[in-house]
Amino acid sequence: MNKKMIRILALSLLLTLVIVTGCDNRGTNIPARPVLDRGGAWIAADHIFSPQLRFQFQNDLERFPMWIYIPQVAWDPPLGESRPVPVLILLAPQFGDKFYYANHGLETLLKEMIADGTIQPMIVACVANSPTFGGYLYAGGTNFENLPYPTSGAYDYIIGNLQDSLGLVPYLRRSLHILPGRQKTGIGGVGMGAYGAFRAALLYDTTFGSITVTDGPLDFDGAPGLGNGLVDLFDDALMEQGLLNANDSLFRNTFDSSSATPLSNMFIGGAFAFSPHDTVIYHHMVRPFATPIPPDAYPEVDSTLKINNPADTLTKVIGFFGPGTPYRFNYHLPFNANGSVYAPIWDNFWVTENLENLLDTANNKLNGVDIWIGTTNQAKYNFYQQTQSWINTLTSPPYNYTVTERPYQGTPSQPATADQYLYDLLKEMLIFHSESFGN
Amino acid sequence: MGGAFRALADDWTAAYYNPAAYALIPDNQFGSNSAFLHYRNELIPNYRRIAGNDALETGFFNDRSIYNPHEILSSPSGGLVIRTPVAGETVFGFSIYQPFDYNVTWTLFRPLTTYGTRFTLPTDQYRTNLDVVAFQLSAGREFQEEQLYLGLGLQILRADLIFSEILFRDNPLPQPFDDRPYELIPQWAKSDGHGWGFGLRGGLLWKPNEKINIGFTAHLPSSITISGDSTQLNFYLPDVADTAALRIAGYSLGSIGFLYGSGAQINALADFETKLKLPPSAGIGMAFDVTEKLTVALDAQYMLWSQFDGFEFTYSNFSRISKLVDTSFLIDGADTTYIRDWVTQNTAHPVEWDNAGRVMLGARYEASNLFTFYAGGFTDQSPARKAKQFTPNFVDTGNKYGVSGGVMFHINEWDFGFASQYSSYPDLKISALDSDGDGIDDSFPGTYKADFFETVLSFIYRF
Repeated sequence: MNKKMIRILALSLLLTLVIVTGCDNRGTNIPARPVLDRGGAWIAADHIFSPQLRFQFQNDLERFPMWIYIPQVAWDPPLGESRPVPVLILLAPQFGDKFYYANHGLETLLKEMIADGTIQPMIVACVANSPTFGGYLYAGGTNFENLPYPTSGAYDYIIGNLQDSLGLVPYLRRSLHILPGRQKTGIGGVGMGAYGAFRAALLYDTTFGSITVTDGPLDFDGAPGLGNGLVDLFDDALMEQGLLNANDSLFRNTFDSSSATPLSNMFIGGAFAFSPHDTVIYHHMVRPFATPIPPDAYPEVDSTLKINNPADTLTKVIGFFGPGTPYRFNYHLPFNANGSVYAPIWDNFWVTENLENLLDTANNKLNGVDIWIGTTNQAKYNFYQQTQSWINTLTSPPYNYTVTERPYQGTPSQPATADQYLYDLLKEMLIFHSESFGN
Repeated sequence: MGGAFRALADDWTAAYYNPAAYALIPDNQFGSNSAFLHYRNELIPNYRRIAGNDALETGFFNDRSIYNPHEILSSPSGGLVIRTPVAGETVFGFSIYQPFDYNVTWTLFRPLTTYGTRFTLPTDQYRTNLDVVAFQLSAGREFQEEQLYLGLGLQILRADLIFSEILFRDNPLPQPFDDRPYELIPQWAKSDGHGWGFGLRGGLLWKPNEKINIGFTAHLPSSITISGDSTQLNFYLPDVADTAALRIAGYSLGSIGFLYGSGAQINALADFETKLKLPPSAGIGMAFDVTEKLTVALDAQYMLWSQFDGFEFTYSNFSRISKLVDTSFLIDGADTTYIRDWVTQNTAHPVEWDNAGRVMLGARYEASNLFTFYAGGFTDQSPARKAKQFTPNFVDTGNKYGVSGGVMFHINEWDFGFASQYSSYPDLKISALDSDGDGIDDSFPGTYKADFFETVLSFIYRF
């Protein structure tokens, strides 16, 4: 083999080597797992608030269930540094419990967004909606008749007031490392929780500095061009019950309060919260844990029906806990068996609790409150129209508030009828609050 | 020569290029090739669900260049050619080579943050490793003196397939348990198996005059049923932290509904079967001796890729299904048929490819007794050029162009070859997630980029 050939062979081998190995290894460029805040959830943050929940159905322990995320810096050493941080209160929608937001990814979102600096560390307290009768719209009403507290529980008072040491915000500030002040306190909600958030912020208008909500019953009586709010749902509730245009007796005796009729439940919850003069029960706590619990009966409360004697019982519905049980309750719906407005109840007890009216009567209005509203025209229960009406109210004279409106839609296969896209909206809600909290 | 070898083949590789050329091989020989392949792919995922004006995240590594793992793959082949006095002057040969070879692996997905850090999916989330090896007995002989030669190759085909992908299954739970991002449940499926088939490769070589060779070839492979007993199915179930809500909704502890919100990973093993419909092909090539030393060749080939419809897996004999599946029960006491059906559901999604042509142009220059140089180029139509369904399992982004070059050293009875080829793929942007609107993801949106490098080392020993 001559030298020339050896050179050529050597060159060929070198070329081969270059081509085989010459394409540099780029790696795969897969992103590293995100760093997470080392804080954690206090999942058993239930607190007993006496006495505002004392007469609530199926809550004889007066439990106020909460799921609270505490960022690492707000824990005590050695994990954290006891640093006070802002607080955000999130209200669950109808039938949502304290894990509602956690089930939509809140904990890991917080861990990720706090760790990468997208949001500042914050404590987030997720409040459960009452599972009974549609959650009472987070309202407590004012007409308790001869009970010291409403049977719905005084949610708005618990959530918003700053004076009562048993209130939520004072309790949180006392128990955790939380920055004081309105600007450092936010509230948010979904659906019924949206109403609850605005309601608490209006009734206690020095408590919250920022609000984020998605569509909800934000304008009970609607607005021109935007429907009639909840009134348009009266027929739907009756159809849900199979009672549209039923005779009065059937309507009053068979209106079902089970969770299988969610729209009806919302109205029942509102009835307990807003028009409680027909829902009075004589109530004393016995907590008979040691005694047998009869099936189908209200298990832990020995209640005896004690109905006032209202002048008009046209829409007074007779409720029951189960067939053959002695435990009964009544409530007063805002509509009759034909789905028509029953003005004495609607006008006097529901419309007065509409956010527009609460805004009119609030001392501080929503001045200085940063507002973010996620809204979709696919929302159920006319919530979109109500939300739009509420936005119009907020952004029009005399208020002229700036509202960050976030329109969104669902996918063709999964329309955004309820809160299917909360996971995606939560990020924006958290960022909004974080920015509102300031430095 | 860019593959334009149909009318020029003069060594054992004629088993692939044109078996008729065996008749022109003057001596016995054996040889081997070792091809080193480098698939250099890039994918910038845009796998999001469109909801109004929003693009919702899904867990894929969107908007970021992801590369397939860096690999130099080897593909050896070899053959033996023997001239025998059987049936006149018939030349026989036996060769082993890969008529089809594809290999790509991707890691593209991590469950969204709602899943926390509980699940770590395997790295071969999308993978296609298809090797079809032909064990071919070839024969070629002269039929018309110095003018017409015919050849035939009888093939036994062995196909080995490793195929994995991520699919999404509808969450059967009602709202709110199927709220984003739990509306779809990720499933990772990996199948590993093999099968056997047959093929015929025929060729004709015609020399109308001393300067021109014309070759015709056809390949008729049978379908190959690929089966295996190790299909692995993993399902990553949503984690509904709120077990109380599940109970209130009627899904008590131990129920199937409860299982769907448990955050568990359930697995299953199964037998699988799929049909590999290899494309028949036909080609024609012409070589022209420009000078004594220089020969140019032009080939064209047409492959009936429309016969290929992807891999439609049929699963059977499920075994080792996670205990949770069989220990869960419906509230009303019904059996576990539902979740078993769900786990074992057929999720096949065939592809629709088109027939594709390829044109090759090459030149051979016999510089001396010691060296022969080769060069060529080609354009190769992509069978997936119109496909609505495009996934990372087959990164064939469009019509390809390639160049190649090489040299052969002749040392006594030995030939040593070296050749390299580069194929350039066009960039491809895929937008649709559900191309046919049936509600099932059948395409992987993103921007695909690809290059392919191949280097072949070879030797031939003549005796």
